[in-house]
This record gives sequence, C-alpha cells and structure tokens, in this order.
Amino acid sequence: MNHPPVAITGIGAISALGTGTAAQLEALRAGRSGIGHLTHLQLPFPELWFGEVKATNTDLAALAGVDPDRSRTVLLGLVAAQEALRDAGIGADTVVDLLSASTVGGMDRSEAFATGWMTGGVDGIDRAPGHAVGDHALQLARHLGLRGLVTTLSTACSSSANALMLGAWLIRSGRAEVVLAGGTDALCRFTTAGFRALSAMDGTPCRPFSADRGGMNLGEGAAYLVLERADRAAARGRTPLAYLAGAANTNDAHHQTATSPDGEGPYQAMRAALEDAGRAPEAVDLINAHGTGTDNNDGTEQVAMERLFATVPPFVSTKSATGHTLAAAGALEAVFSVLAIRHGVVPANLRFTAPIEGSRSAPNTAPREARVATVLSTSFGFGGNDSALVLTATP
Amino acid sequence: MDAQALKQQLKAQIIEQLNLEEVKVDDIGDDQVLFGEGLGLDSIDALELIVLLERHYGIKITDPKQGQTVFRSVNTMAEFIQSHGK
Amino acid sequence: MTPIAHSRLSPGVFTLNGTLLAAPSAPPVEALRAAYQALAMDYPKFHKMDLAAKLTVLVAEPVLRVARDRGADLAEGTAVLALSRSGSGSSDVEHWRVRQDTGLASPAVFVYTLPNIGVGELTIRHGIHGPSLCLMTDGPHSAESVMAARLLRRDPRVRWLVCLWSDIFAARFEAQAVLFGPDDDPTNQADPTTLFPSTP
Repeated sequence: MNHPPVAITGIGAISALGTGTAAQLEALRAGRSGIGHLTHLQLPFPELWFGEVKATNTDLAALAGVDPDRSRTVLLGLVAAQEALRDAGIGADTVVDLLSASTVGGMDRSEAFATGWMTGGVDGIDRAPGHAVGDHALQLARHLGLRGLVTTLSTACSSSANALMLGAWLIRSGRAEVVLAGGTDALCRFTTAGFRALSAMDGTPCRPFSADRGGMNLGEGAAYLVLERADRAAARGRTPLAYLAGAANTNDAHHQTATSPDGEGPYQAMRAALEDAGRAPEAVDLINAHGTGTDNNDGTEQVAMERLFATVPPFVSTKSATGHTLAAAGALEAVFSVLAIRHGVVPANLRFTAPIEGSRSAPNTAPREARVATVLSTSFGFGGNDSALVLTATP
Repeated sequence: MDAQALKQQLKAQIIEQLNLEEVKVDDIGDDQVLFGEGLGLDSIDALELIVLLERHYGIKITDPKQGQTVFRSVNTMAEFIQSHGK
Repeated sequence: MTPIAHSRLSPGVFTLNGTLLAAPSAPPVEALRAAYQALAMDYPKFHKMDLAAKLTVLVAEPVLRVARDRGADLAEGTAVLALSRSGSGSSDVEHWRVRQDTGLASPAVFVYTLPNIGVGELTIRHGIHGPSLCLMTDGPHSAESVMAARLLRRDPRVRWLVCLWSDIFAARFEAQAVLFGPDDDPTNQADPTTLFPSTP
C-alpha cells in the first residue's frame, strides 16, 4: 500500500433496529429483529413485512432539529449524519466533503404531489420539490452546514458502498482530508409497488441464505461514516474506530436484475477489494453479506463466496434484522462492520432454516462474541453494480 | 373467443407488452419456445407476462415458478387462459 | 485530458468527433429510434429499454466502437463514469402512471427507475466488467466529475475510461460521451471543470 490509511472516526445510523449506533449495537448483540408490519407510516400495504424506522416524520424532525415539512429521506439522513459528525468531534470549522447516496430521494414527497403531475402533465415532476435524487444531498449539506464538495451517487443497492469507496479514494489521493459518506432511503409506495411487481418480496419475515428463502423485506434507514486521513485524526488526538482499508466496484454485465450464475461480479468485487486492502482471504473474520433474501442474490452470492474462500468465514445478512434499506444498506452495514470490530460481536443471520442446496457453507445464526479484526462487507445493485468494502481494526 | 383468435390476440399483446419492436404477430409460432433460445425472453419478461394475464384476463399467478410452465409457448398460455379464465 | 473520441446526441445532432452520424429530430422516442437505425446496431434488447437507458447506450456506442478499433480491453480494463441530471425521472413518472391507470405496477418499467440502469445496459451490451460510478450533476461541466474521473483512473485495473453525460425528460434530451485511452494523462487538463470538449 502506497497510500495514506483511511481512518473511520465517526459513525451514525438509524434503522428498524433503532435510532443511533448504540441502539444498533444493542440489537445486533441481542439478535433482535426490526421486521414487522407498518406502525408509523401511512402506506397501503398492511399485509407486507418491512424494516420500518419506528418514528413519524415529526419525531424525526424533532430529533434532527428541523421543520418536518420535507422528505423522510432527508430527515433520516440528517439524524444519522449529525450523529456521525458528533461522534467524530467534527465541528463547523472543518471543511467536510459530503458523498451521499439515495435511490428514493424525495420520492415519498413526490407521491404527495402525484395527482398534480398527472393532471398537469409529466412536466410537472420538475416542480415536485425534492424529487430529483440529488436534492437530498444539497438539503443535508445545507442543514449540516457543510462547506465542501457535495455529490450524490446513485447506483441502486450498492450506492452508499460506492459513496464510501469514492470517499476513500478522495482521501488517499490527497484531494480531501475529511469526508462524510453514506446513504439514506425511506420507505414509500413507489419502491414497495415496484419490488412487489418484481415478485421480490417475501410474504413473511425474510430468511436470507435459506434453502426456502422467499425474497426480501424492504427496509428504511440512513447511515453515515466520517472518513479521515489517519495522520490528521492522530494529530487531533482521535483514535480511529476502524479503517476503511480497501474497496472495489465491478460490473457483472449479465442482466439488469439478476446476478450471473457463477457470481462473477460479486466474486471480482470481493477479490479486488481484498487486494486493494492488502489482505488475503484468510484474514477475513466476518463477511457482512448483501444477502437480500431473494432466490437469485443469495444463491449467486454464496457461489461467489465459495469460489473466493477455501473455507468461507462466518457470514451474515443483517438485512434479516433491518430489511433491505436500498441505497442506505452499504453504509448501514459498514457501520455494523465497525461495531463488530470495535465491540467484538458477530451478528446473527436471523430465521435461517436450512442450507441452500449444493452449498458447503451456512450463515452464522446466533449473535456471539469473537475477536473481529477484518470485515468484508458487500453490496450488489441492479444494473449489475457490485461493490465490496474491507473494514479493519488496524491500518 | 375461439382458440385461434385467442392465440392471435395473445401474440399481439405479447409484442406490445414486451416491446418486441422488430417482431410481428406472424413471426411467433403457436408452439415456439418463448424464453431462452426461442424468442429470447428473460425473467423480467416473465413478470410482465404475469401482469399481462392479470390485466387482460383477470388471472393471477402468485408463484413466478408456475409461470415457467404457463409461458412456455403461446399454445400453453392459451390453454391456461381457457382453463382458468372467467 | 484530451479525449480520443467524443460523441454528442441531442435534437438534430448525433455526431462522432464532430462528424454527423444522423440528424434525429424531436420528439425523443422517434429521435432515439432514428439514432439507433443510423448505427445499425441490430440489438433487439434496445427496444425494451426506457428512454434514459436508450440515450446512454446510443451516445456511448460510437466511442466504444472507437475503443474496440483501438484494441481496448472492454471486458477488464475499462471504467465508466456516468453523470446525469434527470436520472430516471421519465421512468419514475411512467411507473407512477402505469400504476395509476391500471392498478398494477409494471416490472419492466420499475426496473428502469434507477439512474444507473443505463450504465447497466451499456456494460451488458459491451461486456464491461470494470468499475463504474453514477453521479447526479446539474450539467456536464462540474469539478466533481473531473475529480471522479481522475480517481477512477487510479484503479490499477483501469486503462480506458468512458465518461457520459445525459439529461432526458419529457421533450428535452441531451447526451455526450468521451473516451480516454491509457496514454491520456489526467493531469493535462486545460479546463479543470469539464471532461467534455466545448466544440462539437
């Protein structure tokens, strides 16, 4: 490695498991699930299972200290981003670049304006406040008082993993000293109806990596991490929580929604991320898998893991607890990876029933304590966009 | 509707629903395999065909795997519609 | 960076390195079909894409043909940087409209309600396995896009880089693509705010 190490000096998260990283840790340790029917959101899907953040927009706005009249995506993002900056001890005097990911953007709000566009013609969507997916990052930067670069990434379910990758590159190249990177997505009709049309939703709480898995549960949430040049963190007396030692992105180039049968894209992403981190596969203590619970994803992901690892290390899909938080997932799972390293906890892959036929590995099914020094965290998106991050205890 | 008319209608609906712009009704054989090497349809097309059946014929397929047999060819689709239709 | 190839696709203009390939007039549906025919692509899957993905695939096609002619390793050594203003706006509206009109969402429409799906189509068509990034920007000229392009080039696997700009919504559409080769030094940038030449 000939580049400066990238330290993680702050983390923030909100998900179905709770508000704040302490709540996430407590739930991961207890093996608690956040999956259930909706209780706070007014959406017409009483029969479906979700990883809902148990807070109304008014609750979230109060937490974030802003007016609630805005997208839930922005409100969730603000709560997580504020926690991350606070955790890192970063104040308004520091120039921070924001790399933020979202797929939903202000879609939940646009829905409220939908009748208007329908009657006013499609041109009206340009007037739906906050619809453009990039708008959420501008709102975040404004409310957080950030003065650096503001960029929105959108590569489906790998979006925030790519935000973290780009953040690491910025710091390594010397173009930035402090980056706030992550993602946010709220539940809304738009994505729920879409994934239901794709027959991608389990009618019961999801069972990732199980032979009888039936699809995903949609979730919502936000997570942000403060990335900082390690020598800068040291100079201001901060001990890094962990390091973002490696990252890679590849394209599967097979199909819009399905990964190739041999898991080539995921395999290459994991292999390249470990190479980038200067780590051998044997060094990996935990894989925080993408594990959506769909037939295609989990089957091909496990094939890819078994190609890369002679013995597959403990692996889990924490989406069994949070639901699939789409663009937020990569960052949320990076936060879980940091918690695993800091607190020596291997989370559980909940509701696992039986191994996938033909596989020679199975996920970790109960939370346990263990030394975790190296985590491989994966995120694979529609469009064949595959990313892997390597998070470590030491540079 | 007689079987032949139903098949012609199905072919037109398949072409429209799946945006098979360079395919004409007469290009699709009654027994031609629709997926893979046949007409080259994929998993998203299969889901669209589920929507087509529900929208035009009021028939719901809840298990996408059932689609694999139903959507083998225009013949199998027509038989399925005639045995399940309202 | 001086690109090896530069294509542009907008109402009345489809060019490669300033040479007119076609003159597709609006509206976009017909214009993009005309551009497709001008390229003689013979790619039936094209017709299944939404307008944003079609625009991405079309504008990239001429520069990727140049890359292939120059012996580029499209499979392993090529990265894609996509910049988009409209993202998936057109399909977002269509997804909503279909659901409103029929009570049922269309799977094939929903798949395209993501800004990176056009890049997905591009990587499938050309078998590109290298890294890609999709950024939402207000225009083709933005310092962050130059930064992202330079960072992508630091990946040791990347020798060729394709950068795309696109914007398509309702009646408006505009796209550009540029190709950078292995010998193009990213630091030799006269104008640090853009990847795209200002001349056609």
